[in-house]
Amino acid sequence: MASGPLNGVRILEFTQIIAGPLGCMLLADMGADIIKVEPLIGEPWRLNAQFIPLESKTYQSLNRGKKSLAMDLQRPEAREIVHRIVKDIDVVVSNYRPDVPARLGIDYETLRQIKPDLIYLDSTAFGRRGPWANKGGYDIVVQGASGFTASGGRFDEDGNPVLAGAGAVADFATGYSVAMGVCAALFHRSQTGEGQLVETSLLANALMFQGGSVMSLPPADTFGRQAIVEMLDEAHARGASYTEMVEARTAIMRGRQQGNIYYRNYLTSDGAIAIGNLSASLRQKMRDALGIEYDPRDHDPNYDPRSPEAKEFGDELIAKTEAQIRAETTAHWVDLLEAHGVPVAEILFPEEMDRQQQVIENEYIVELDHELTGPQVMVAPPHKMSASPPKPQGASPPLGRDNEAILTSAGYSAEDIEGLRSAGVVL
Amino acid sequence: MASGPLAGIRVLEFTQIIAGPFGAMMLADMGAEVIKVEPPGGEPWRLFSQFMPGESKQFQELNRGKQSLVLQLQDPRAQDVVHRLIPTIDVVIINYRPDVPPKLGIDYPTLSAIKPDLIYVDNTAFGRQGPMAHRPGYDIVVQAVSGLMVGEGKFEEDGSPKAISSTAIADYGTGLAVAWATSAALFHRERTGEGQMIETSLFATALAFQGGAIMEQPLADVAFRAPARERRRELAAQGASYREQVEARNPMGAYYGNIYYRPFRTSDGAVVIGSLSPTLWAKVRTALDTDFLGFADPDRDPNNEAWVAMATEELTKIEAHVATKTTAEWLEIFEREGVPAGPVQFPEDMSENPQALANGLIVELEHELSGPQKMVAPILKFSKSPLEAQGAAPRLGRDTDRYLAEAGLDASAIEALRSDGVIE
Repeated sequence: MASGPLNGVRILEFTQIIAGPLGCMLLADMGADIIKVEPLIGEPWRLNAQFIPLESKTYQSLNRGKKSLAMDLQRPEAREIVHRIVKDIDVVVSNYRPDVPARLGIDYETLRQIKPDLIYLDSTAFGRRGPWANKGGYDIVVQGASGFTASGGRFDEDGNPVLAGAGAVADFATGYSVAMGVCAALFHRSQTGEGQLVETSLLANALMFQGGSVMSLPPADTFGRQAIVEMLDEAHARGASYTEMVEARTAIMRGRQQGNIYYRNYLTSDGAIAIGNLSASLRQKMRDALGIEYDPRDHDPNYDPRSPEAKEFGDELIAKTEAQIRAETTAHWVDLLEAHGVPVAEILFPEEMDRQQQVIENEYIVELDHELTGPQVMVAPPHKMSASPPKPQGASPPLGRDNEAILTSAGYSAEDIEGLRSAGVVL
Repeated sequence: MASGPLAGIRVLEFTQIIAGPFGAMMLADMGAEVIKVEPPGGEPWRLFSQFMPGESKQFQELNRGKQSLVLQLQDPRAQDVVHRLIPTIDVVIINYRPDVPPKLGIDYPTLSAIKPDLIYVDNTAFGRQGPMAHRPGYDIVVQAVSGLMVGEGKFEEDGSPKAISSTAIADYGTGLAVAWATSAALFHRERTGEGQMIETSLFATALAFQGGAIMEQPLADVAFRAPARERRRELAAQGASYREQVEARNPMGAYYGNIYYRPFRTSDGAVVIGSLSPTLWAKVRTALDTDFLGFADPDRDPNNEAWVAMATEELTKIEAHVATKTTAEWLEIFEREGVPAGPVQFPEDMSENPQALANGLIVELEHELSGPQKMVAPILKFSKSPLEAQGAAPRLGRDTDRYLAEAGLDASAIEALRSDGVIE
């Protein structure tokens, strides 16, 4: 029996690519038993950059500890299998476009007839309503449509917009939301006996992660957001270029941060560091460390960030501080700032994380062995729980590995299974 | 009574800035009663860019639907108030540095001695072990340490690194992790009667959000990750600049030929396409009217100069072609061909976006001091226990008297604490 808080909970997964698979993997780490239903050729993420047939790193990084049931959901026999299995299932997670589950007979209305207290988590790209409800939406499309790409503000040399580089943030956020929604619904069911439909979307999560930029709060927006809205209205009406709008937005955002030496990155003589001071007391610690005597932002009660003097002083302060920090090594600054209690760190590369003492001592990475591809090191579950510790239940499964066991437990005989297999319904 | 799945659950929050407050706000959206403990004067995020005294947009964005209880936790009388309230509390959320909670008498051993089935979610910057355990860490610092900032690969003109500007990704991700773990622990408590301590960190989330870049899978890594890491380490040993190292990790050459999953400039804006399968790739080529196979070309070789030259020329042609039509025209073409696509929009336009509105993703609230506001609605819809924003953020100390009375203090005791500056 798994050790996590969800041990004994059975989940049937109909998801692909990142968001749904990540959400279900996090639930598997928490001890749930995940049956991942895949098409006979494998889900698309298995096929993306395969390093051996049917195995890709992208797939293996998002599907550890699951069981794989490969079948052709277009076939009525496969639908029958789902309907038999669902009797013993607590949670279904699906990420099809809104019209697909009903066509496959795996929608909430159909499945709850079979299992009335079923929890059904439905994740779509743009939500089930509205003009884009049925649009195909992958992370990049949702990043573009939700504001992320524009606020990332990246361009290549020709002015083409570039996706924010740090990853599929809408997908990863939604994966966390899927795990959260399932756990909250399980709690509700344990208190009331009720199952229910839970919906989320990449768009909902992308918006939530941008909180303040999306939020409208008139008395606070007069200086920043309102200026951006007005700029955009004017620029849209005039047909201004995307580049121009992003640059104008960036300028407005920067204008709000005159003389920001406190929460930003710096080049050092041999690398780069990040500094994160978000309170007046931390700003003072940084000034002490750097020998800066005065900053009107904290010392002048009548400080107005919009005044030309504030800009002039701020620009000078920034130039001086940049030069000062660039004159010494990363180690020098980390030690010195650290000694003053300033939040600071060297900027590191993701590929060297598995060697960091901090990562190792907190057990943030875990070594697993994949039955086809051997050893691998990956990120551990993001929580430690004292009474019900989450733990990866193994590496990702080869395609269809668990077909026989799952079908047998659903009441299919060896003969039935062979028949389904030769008819091309299951692998 | 709130309608969400956590209705009736009481949460005591000792957190500041983004991650903890966001996590506790998700729990408030799910119906929990969240009592936010703030120091006299308010938590730092209230004081950052105040637009009126004690109120900032950042604070209001992350604290809707909570109760505000002001306590000077350094004072033993304030600690006593906490201890008196704890028997009624289901969940504590805290994000102090590891050494702080015991000093304030609000650590897990102390509180679980009062309430054995307490769920205690402890969020730190870097985890409770290791050389950085006691370092203060804000989102930008964790972005740097975890590799996220390198992955973003954005620079100032002088080559200094830019942080991820679209969101405080480690903070927001950790907020979700806090709310998710709380829900899982409540489920566990319901089945077993056990409470427990849960630890998470900004660092853990930052790593989890990078999955494949952190993961080592030797068989898969030989093609790209391992040689890129070697190349970069050599450069680092030679004293190469940060920018040179990042560019060695993110070589543009490897991306030559990406016509399938990327943004394009149009004549009046920008559009993105997101195609991740060979079927969709064929549709992209039809829509773009090109025979260029891009990264689907079996002969693709970023190390072959002739191939790169050909790819560069083709890409330039395609980009110029896309730039001749409007975003709307391209969206129509992509729609017709079945290519996943969308316009590049600005976050400031999203509170009026038809898709967001149609899905109830924007909620209007009224703040008792600063009036009407529109913000992102709860991110989950539950059919039986619907989530709901339980109101705007509280003004500082709005609910102090009520909770002190509940903790058994009479009016004169409350007044004495107030005049001593222990409460507000």
